[in-house]
Order: sequence, then structure tokens, then C-alpha cells
Amino acid sequence: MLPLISIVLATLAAGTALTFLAGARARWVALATSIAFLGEVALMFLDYTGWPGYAGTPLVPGFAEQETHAWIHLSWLQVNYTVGVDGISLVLILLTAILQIATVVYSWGESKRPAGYFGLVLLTCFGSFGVFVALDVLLFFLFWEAVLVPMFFLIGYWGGPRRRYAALKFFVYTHVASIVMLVGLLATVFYSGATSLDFAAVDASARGLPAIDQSFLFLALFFGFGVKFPIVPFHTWLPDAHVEAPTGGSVLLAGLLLKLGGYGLIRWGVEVLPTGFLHDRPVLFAVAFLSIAWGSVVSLAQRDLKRMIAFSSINHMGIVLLAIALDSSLGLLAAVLLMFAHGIVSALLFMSAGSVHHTFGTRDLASLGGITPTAPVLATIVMAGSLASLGLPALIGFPAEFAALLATWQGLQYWVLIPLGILVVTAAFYLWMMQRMLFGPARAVPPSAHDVPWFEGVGMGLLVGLTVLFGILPSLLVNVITSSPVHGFPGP
Amino acid sequence: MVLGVLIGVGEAFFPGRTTNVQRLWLHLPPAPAWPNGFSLVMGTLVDPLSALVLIVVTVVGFLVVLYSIGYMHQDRGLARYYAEIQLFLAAMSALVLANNLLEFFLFWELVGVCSYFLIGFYYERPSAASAAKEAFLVTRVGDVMFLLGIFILFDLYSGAGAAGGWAANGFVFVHNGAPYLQGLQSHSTLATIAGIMILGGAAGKSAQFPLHVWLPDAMEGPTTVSALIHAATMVAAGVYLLAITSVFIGFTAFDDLLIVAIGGFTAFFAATMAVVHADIKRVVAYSTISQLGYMVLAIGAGFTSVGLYHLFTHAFFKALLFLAAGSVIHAVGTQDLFKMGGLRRTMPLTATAFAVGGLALAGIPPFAGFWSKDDILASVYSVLGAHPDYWPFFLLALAAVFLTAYYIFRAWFLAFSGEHPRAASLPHAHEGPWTMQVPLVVLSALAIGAGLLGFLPGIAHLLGHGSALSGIANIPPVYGLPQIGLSAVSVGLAGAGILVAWRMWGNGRVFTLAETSAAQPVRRLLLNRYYMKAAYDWVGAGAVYTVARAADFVDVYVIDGTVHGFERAFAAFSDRLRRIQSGVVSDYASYLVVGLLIVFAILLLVAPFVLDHLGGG
Repeated sequence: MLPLISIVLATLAAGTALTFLAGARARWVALATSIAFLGEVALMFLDYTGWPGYAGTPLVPGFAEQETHAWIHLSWLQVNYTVGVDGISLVLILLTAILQIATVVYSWGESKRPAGYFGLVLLTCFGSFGVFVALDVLLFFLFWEAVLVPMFFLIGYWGGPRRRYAALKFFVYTHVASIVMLVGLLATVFYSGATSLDFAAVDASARGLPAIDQSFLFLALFFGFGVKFPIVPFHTWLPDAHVEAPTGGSVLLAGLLLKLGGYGLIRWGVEVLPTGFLHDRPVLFAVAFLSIAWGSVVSLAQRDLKRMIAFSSINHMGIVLLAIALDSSLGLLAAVLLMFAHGIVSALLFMSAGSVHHTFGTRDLASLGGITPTAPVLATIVMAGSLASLGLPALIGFPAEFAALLATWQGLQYWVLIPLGILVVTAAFYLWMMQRMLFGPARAVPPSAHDVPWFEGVGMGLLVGLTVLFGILPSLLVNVITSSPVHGFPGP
Repeated sequence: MVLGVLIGVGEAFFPGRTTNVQRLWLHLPPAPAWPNGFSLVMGTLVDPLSALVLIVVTVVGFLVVLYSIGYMHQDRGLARYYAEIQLFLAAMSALVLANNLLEFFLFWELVGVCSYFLIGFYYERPSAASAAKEAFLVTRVGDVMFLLGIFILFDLYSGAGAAGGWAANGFVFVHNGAPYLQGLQSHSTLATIAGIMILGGAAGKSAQFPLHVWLPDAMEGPTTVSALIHAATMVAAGVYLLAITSVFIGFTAFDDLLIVAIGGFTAFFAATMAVVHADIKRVVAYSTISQLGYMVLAIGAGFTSVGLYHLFTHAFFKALLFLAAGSVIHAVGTQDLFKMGGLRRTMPLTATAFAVGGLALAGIPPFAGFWSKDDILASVYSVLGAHPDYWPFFLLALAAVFLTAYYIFRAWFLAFSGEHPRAASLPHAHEGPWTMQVPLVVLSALAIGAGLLGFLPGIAHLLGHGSALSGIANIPPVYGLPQIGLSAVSVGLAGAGILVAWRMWGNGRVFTLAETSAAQPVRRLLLNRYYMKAAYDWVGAGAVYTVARAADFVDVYVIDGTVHGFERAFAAFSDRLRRIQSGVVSDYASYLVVGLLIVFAILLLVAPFVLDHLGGG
């Protein structure tokens, strides 16, 4: 069998390096890399489930595509290069591949040091892919940190007027969280007496830890992963980072980086420390409800389109956290589905916000108005993204939110009224945004304004198409996710 | 569309036939969490219930599209218009045919978003954009309740709460030819809550009190849209939801009372507001809310088929009223009744059509509305003995008969009677092209005849048996003396309403209320729609937005401020640290010693502990 994961890693590494060196032709190299990446991910899917159809039976036990090579050998500790995927990581890898190609196409017109820009975009995706496949603590942490650096430069060099402040805040904030997470992971390893940093070894030994230890360790991990989510009140890096980041940076930040937190919490938190997780669930619920409500309500008050979308991300990731915390199969399924959905939809929204900014020179909702006649394609895309984000059926957000809320009802009964009520607020801020920006008489439309250039249209159109496709056929993803050998899923 | 009519008519003539076709949409194989496996299906269920509504949707849909060709020909964005109308018709048909609650909800939301698009069709008008948002948001409140209702039902029947754990089929109404969700009454508390939640969803869609505020404002859309979506079909979806719920699931007694209360109250409440408005479309819109109230009342009282009968006749005469109003608006370019007048001379066909629609709405025999509305009143009356608490709502519904006749003929007299338009600036009115006239004629025929259709074997079968699956309550078959007496009362009330309207507004008269009249505050209250919209605006745009602003302030200055506080503290600390670098060697030496001591201390105290755990030392 081909070592597919290593091949993908090599492809991305080589593609990234070539892109940095390619100068003016960087975008072509980046595009070729993205296409190759997508093809390889398709191969991984084929390998995993046959074809993601309705059958959902011929599955691989445990992690698929697993590779293990000894890396660092100490008398008391074994560090391996261990990688592998299951349904959960596979879905997020698919998201990575989709967002990479969409971002590259969307940014086709980037003229400020394109080699650096496209190289950093690829590097971010490389790191994210690594996080999703790493099954060794050290490897995981290296990839985790590898994502921060390119994002720091994307914000800091290609960003808006306050880019330095935002980049530094992003870096310091998430780095502190990373350290806490690393300490938590290493403490888990050492307290449990695991002799290898492999996921399987850590998982096996950590389950034996006493409940009180697990609960403290889980809190440390929760903080580390939670800042990435981000959870209220540790979220203030996100709006600033989004507002200042270039469009491609925002897309990857919302679409991928936030998912790292969710994935990490599921893989390294919930699975490794199940007892601690159960102990700390009240904290998770409280934080989740707070994030859901806070993200949505604060969105309503925003004037900057990007800031509004950023806060809506906090709301959606709060639902992800809630779904994870439910500790049910349906909840976990919903969480992964919602991460995928939010990845696509928030990417779409940030792209459209970027296009609004390029075309009309501002993202200020209070001064924009009536842009539809000038830019009908863009207006349609904004509308599609908003409707998907507020959970319209037949678009991707609906099956995910529906499953999450149903699981919440089953797990928590009337607490579901909080996220349900907030759905109205979420609808309100999107509809109000559309009313102000798309409809009414034209305001603040410069005479030079035009509809989106073709490459931006293609990049966003791709995501709109996927929003509809997976909205109508969520089974394409559901069957892959539920084949993961965790948490009461059908598994192998 | 033709297919839909065929299915509907076919159903009418093949009694008792139920066709259920479904296809697997999402399947989870058996697992610890769902030991029986779990499937969601997408299916079509053709039974008498859905066939009846399908006929309405397709017939009215066809006529409205035909009418649009003439009515909309001057507008821009026609491709968008027709695409959205078709999407709406597809979604509405699918909603009617859905064979499970999830599928129903999916298309329920899709028709809602089509309504949003079409209300905002003239999006450059701020009022249209605002009305579209309002409609979406208000119905969203209902939809959220509906969702909770679905969750509860799912849990009771298919989820972890059901006997045997997760059932293999979630949400399905009919499984292997038998109703799947039955016997809800046994879970009384949860079932009552589920029923209230479903009622909430229905109230949002069908504009029942207190979620009715969006419908009058939805008149910002083209008149054709008002006729099709906001009168004949989509707004009836809420009634249809109540109908299928009562057939397949059943409501508890408390829910029934609540439904009766909301229906009866809304029928009266909306009628009062229609009395004072000057906008021809709004008057008709309030009448829609009021008539939907009658249907809800009937379903609550246990007469599902009677409610659907009224849905059936109402769709035709209400579409007729809207299209006739559209014909007027098309001709004179205003919606203000007080600028019109004498139009019967220049637009005889439209005047006749509006009159036919008005007579049907008022419930004058033999027009369609009489048969169905009278059925509702007679049915509810027949159960008053068993349910004395229905009395007040029955009386409200009866009073609304008078108001209905009054306000619709007030509109007719204002627009069509008299010698000439009150506003001199009106263009010379004339009838629209044939594409607009044909639908008016066809719908007029239906508004006269649809009530009698109820006596035809085919339609009577659809109504009488409702759903072959459960044998819902039939139309009271015998017209005994009480029913005839009641009919006489209601027709008398309607006639009185028309007479009063004639005295006040007929023949070019304009009734003006004296400024000092004691009725002035009432008039203002009605014109301001009981201040409910203002109250909702205050809550939505005022209170919630203020909270949001406050939260935003806290976010920036308190939460992020704390972060900055840490940042400053660190900066100050590092500044201190920098000062230790004095450049004096002896200072550095002493730091070195202190540092080393600390390191040793750590090693001595901590290292054994760590090494113990590492197992390697």
C-alpha cells in the first residue's frame, strides 16, 4: 500500500518550497500543488470507504493509512513519526484541500510579493494537514506551531492598517495557549507513565489516571485548544486578527485554524482523558452557552462586516463545543459536521467581505448600501453565504445545526432553548446586514465599482456549489464521520 | 404543475388510495448508539389531505404565473422573478407531499426563504427590504418553536426516549402503510409542549396572533406574490401543518383549546384592523389573517376536514381578490382607496371580479366562502355543549363575520362606486391584457363554484375522508334546525355589514369621523395595529440592540481591556528587569549566585519527583 499521508506531506512541502522560489509564477505552482493535494485526498477517501456512498460498511479498523517510523529513541521514551487518519480527520482534511484550492484561486490577482503570499498560504495548509494526521504528541505539537508562523506573517505583512498589533496579539495569545496545551499533553504522558508519545500509547495509559488528575489535565488541554476555538472570554484575538488579516488569511484563519482547536479537543482531549472530560463537562457547557450567546449578540452590534463575521464564528464554534460536550454519538457527529460546514461557509463569507472591500473601498455597514445593482454576483454570494450561515435547509449549515440541537435536546432537555433562541438573533444580524448592505438605494458606491473579477467569482462559486451539494447530500460526509472508531459510532 | 393537478384529481376519483414513495436519504448502520440503525428518508406521500392542497397550489400557481405575464411586463429582473416563483412552487408542492416531519420542515424553510426573496423583490425600496427582513424574522421565531416540537416528537417516537431506543426510521408519518406517530396523548406533558411548539410554528407561517405582524407588511412584494404566496398557498402551510399534526399525531385537550383560542381571537382581531386601513392590499391582507384564523379555529375544535375545506375555497376567492386589486393598482398606479372611485365604469370586469370575491369572503350564499365558513361555524357550534370554554371564541368568530362583510365592501364601494376617482391625477383606467383577464374570470368561476364542489363526490371524498389513514372527523352531514338557524344568523350579519358599508361609503360617499368623536382613539389604535409592531420594533431594534451594544462595549473595554492590562503589566515588569542590567560586575555575580541557588533548589525538590514518574532516573 502506498504511504499516502507521507506522499501528501511531501507534495505539500515541495509545493510550498517551490512556490516560495517561483517568483511571479508562484500562483501557478500553488494551483498545481493544490490540485495534486485535492487528488491525493480523493485517493485517501477512496481508500477509506470505497466511495462515500450509502453503503458505509467496508471500513478500516482503527486508523487508516497508518505509518509508524522510529524517530527519537530514548531509554525511557519513544518518539515516533506516526500518522494516520480516521473519519473525523479525513473530513477535516477534505476541508483543508477545498479551502486551499479556493483560496489560491480567489487570490489569483495578489500582486504584493505573490511568491511569499502563496507560499505562506500553502504552508498554513501544510501545517493544518499535519495536525489532522499526526498521531504523536511531539509531531502534533510541531505541526500545531507550524501553523502559527505563516499566519503571523500573513497578517503582519499583507494585513490592514493595524496589522502589526493584530499579528502580535494573535501570535502571543495563541502561543501562550499552545504552551499550556503542550504542558498539559506532556504532563498527561508523564503522569500516566506512557513510554511512547504515540497516540495509541498515550491513550491507553492515560485512561487509567485517577479522575481528579484527569480533570485537571483536561482543563489544561481545554484551555489550550479552547483559545483556538475561540471560547469566550479568551476570544478577543480573533476579531482583531480577522479585521486586519488579508482575505486569504481570514479564510484560512476561520476555515482551518479554528477547526484545529475543535479537532484537538476531540482527539487529544475527549478521547485521551474521557473521565476528566466527563468531570469537566459543566465547565464546557457553561463556556459553550456563553460563547453561543456572546458571539451572536455582539455580532448584532458590529459595523465592520468582517468583525461581524468573526463574532458569528465564535457563536458557531460555541455550538461545536456544546455538541462535543454532550458526550453523545449524535453530538460528536454534529460537531464534526458543523466544523466542516462552518469551514466552508465562513470562508465564503470572508471572501465576500474581502470582495466588498476591494470593490467599494469599505466594509462599514453603516455607510454601505444598495450594492446589488452594481455587483449582482457579489450580492448573490453574500446572500448565499448568509443564508447558509443562519442555517437554511438545503444548505450545508442546516444538517449540522439540526443534529447539534437535536443532540442538545436529547442530552440537556430545555437548555436547548438557549441555542434555539440565539438562532433568531443569528438570523437577525445576517438579515439586517443584507438589508443595509445589499438592498435599499445605492450609497457609498464609487463610480469605478464593478462586479467581482472572474477569479474571485470562481473561488467563491466553488464554495457556494459545495454548500449546496453537501446541504442536499450530507450523507457524503456523515457516513465517513460515523465510520470513525470512536464514541459509539458504527466504527469498523 | 399539470402533473400536480392530475395527481390531485386522480386522488379525488380513486377513493382511499394512498401512495407513499420514499428513498433513503441518509442511513447509519447499526451501532452501539443506535442499535437498530437509523435512516432518514425523503418521500412523497399522496393521500387525500395532500391531494386537496396540491390542487390549490397548482391551480392558483398556474393562474398567477399567467397573470404575471401581463402584470409584471414592465418590471426589471423578470428572470429573477420567475425563477423565484418556480422555486416557490416546487418547494410548496414538495412540502405538501412530504412524508416525514424533517422533509416537511426542510421545504417549510425553503418556501419561507422564497417568500423573503419575493417580498424584497423591489429591493431598492427600503420599505420592501425592511418588510422582507421582518417576515423572515417573525416566522423564524415560529420556526424555532417548530424545531423544538420536532425534537420532542422525535425523542418520544424515534430517539433515545422511545421504547427500544432509536427507531430505524425517524420522523416518518407513515410507515408500512400505517401512521407511525400515534398515541401522543399518552405522554401528556411533553406532548402538550410539543403541540404548543408546533402551534407556534404554524402561527408564524399562517400569521396568527401574536406572530401576525409580518403579513400586512409583506404586501411590499408584487401583488401577484401577495396573491399566490401571502394569500392562497404559503400562508396556508401553517394550517396544513396543524391539519397533518392533528391527523397523524393528535393534539392534547389543552392544545386544542389553545388552538381554538388563537384561531377565534385572530379571526376577530385581524378583522378589526382591516376596518380602518386605506391601502387596498392591506385590507385584503388583514382579511387573509382573519380567514386563516377561521381555519385554525376549525382544526382546533377537531374538524380538520372543515378547516381544509375553507382553505380550499379561501385560496380561490382570496387569490381572486388580490388579482383584482392588482388589476386596479396596475391601472391607476396607487393603492390608496381614497384616491380611487367610480372604477366600475372603466373596469367592469375587475369590479365584478372583486365583487364576486367580496361576496365569497363575506359568506353570502351561494358563493364559495359561505359553504365553508358556515361549516366552520356550524361545526364549532355543534361541540359547544361538550366544550363550553369554546364559547367566547365562537362568538368572536361570529362577530368577525359582520366585520368581514363591512370592510371588504367598504373597499369595494370606495374603489368602484361613485362617479369618478376622488384624486384628479389618476390616469384613465382600463382593463389589463388578456393574460390578466383570463385568471380573473377563471377564479371568479371558482369563487362562485368551489363551495359547491364540496358536494361533488370526488372533492367530498377528499374532504370527508381527509386521510384514509385515520378517518378524521367528517363534515356534519345533516343540516338540522340549529345549523340552518346559525346560517341565517351569519348571513344576516354579513348582509348587515354590507348595508352599513353602503350607508357609509356607497355611491361616492366618504364617511369622516369627527375629530372630537369618542371613537378617534379607537381608530388610532387600529390604524397603529394595536401598537404591536411598534412594540416588536422596540424589543428588536431597541432593547436587543441596546443589549448588543452594551455587550460589544464590554467585549472591547472589559474583556479585551483585561488582556491589555496583562500586556501593560508584562511591559512594566520587563522594564524593571531591564533596569537590573546595571553594568556592574558585582551585581551580575550576585544575580548569578541567586539564580544558581534557585536552580539547585528546584532540582533538589522537584527532580526526584519528576524522575520517579518518568521511570528512567
